[in-house]
Amino acid sequence: MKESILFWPVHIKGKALYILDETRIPQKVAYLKVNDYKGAIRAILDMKTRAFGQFLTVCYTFILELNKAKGKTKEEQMNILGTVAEAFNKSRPTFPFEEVTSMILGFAKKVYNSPNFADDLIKTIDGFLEKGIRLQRYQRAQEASKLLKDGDAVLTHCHVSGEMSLIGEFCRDAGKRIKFFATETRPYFQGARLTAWELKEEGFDVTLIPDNAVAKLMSEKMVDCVIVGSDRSAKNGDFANKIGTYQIALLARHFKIPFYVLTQPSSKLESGDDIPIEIRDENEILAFAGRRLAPKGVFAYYPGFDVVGHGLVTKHIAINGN
Amino acid sequence: MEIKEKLPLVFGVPDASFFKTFKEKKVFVAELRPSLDGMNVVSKEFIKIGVVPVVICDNMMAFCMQRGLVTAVHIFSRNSDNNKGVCQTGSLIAALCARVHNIPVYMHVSHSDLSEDPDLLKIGKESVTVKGIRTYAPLLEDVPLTLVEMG
Repeated sequence: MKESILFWPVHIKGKALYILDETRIPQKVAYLKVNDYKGAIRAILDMKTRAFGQFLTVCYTFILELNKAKGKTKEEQMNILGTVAEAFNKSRPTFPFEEVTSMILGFAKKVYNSPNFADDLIKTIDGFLEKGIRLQRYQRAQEASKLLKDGDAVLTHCHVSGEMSLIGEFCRDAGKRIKFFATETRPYFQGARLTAWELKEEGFDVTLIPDNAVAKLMSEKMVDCVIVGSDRSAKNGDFANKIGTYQIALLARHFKIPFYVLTQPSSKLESGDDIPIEIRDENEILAFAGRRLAPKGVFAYYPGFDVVGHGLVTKHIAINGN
Repeated sequence: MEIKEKLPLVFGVPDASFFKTFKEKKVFVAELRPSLDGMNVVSKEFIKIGVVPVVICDNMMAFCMQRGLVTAVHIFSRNSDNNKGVCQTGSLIAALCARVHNIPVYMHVSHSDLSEDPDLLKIGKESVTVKGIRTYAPLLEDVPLTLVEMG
């Protein structure tokens, strides 16, 4: 199955991470070379990578630091892992960094008594990613594709790290023609820069719309279902995703359109009320590419994410099939 | 910036009469993609009358409502009949989300100029994505009067 480069946007080679710089797509496909955890965190804070890319960055950074710490004692290596975990946990509030770093530290505890501690931990993380996560994302995309009928028009928001084009590929294999509408997703334009570009590159029928045109499309019966991703989920099925998702979910309910979310279950948070929402710098709205867009005296408010209650979701399509 | 207080939300381009009667000190202004008329034209008018405009992206309206930050929604019709007003696209989102959150919606008449045919592939003069991507950015949509406060 053909994979978009956005499906697996982070790679490790020896003592360096290569993070796909999503802020430069589609004008340029370039990877940011990162040599340590501080560089990885800078890439996350600058939104060079996001969503699934953040997850991969965390996992691969542990491998990177282990590669660099070969020759040190196990205690020293564990201390390094602890430092890395703590630094990621403080980086951005909405993404569940603590859940990911706790999981990796859990792997470390399991293989701690091995004489080849660092190598075994690297193998464990790598196996978890390649044989676990990659496969499960394929399964999730396939399950989503089964919900679609020939001729359906799917509305999506932001960018689902290469999974929307994979859904399209599964549909194509099954002989189903699917149309996509991508919201541009202000203020970072992930829909315009990533989703619409990726789907067009992969040969799918895609139309870019402004975020404000969603109700117009739905009212004119141009949308058959909504599929979005999720940055964080809670036990009760609430989830957080890019700002604007909640609005789309409300509209889908009003117009009786199925609303599907690609999610990864979490047992840490009871409900969406527990998900912290990141408020970002207003200049990310008021300026673009270093040029101010708004007149002097104009302020802005930029919540980066919103929370969708489980009652608005027609179906959760979970990474482990739950 | 952080927002602690509740503010009215303006979605659309009002005409002069709206600004003359506006009494609040601060207001949420939807940016109105792709033209950015909200961020520019509308915000400038508010600044002229001493009101602080706080711009939000068009996809942030429901979040602000859910957080209890919006007191009222103002939308603007170009023309109307007994059933609906013809408003700038996105007004229907504002009105439907306001109803869910029990926030009153006021529809005002406005014949202010709207930027015709702005390019969705650009913001200001900058390209946001590659050329050749198909776009659909309708200027106007119908808003049922059942969603709007009457009288």
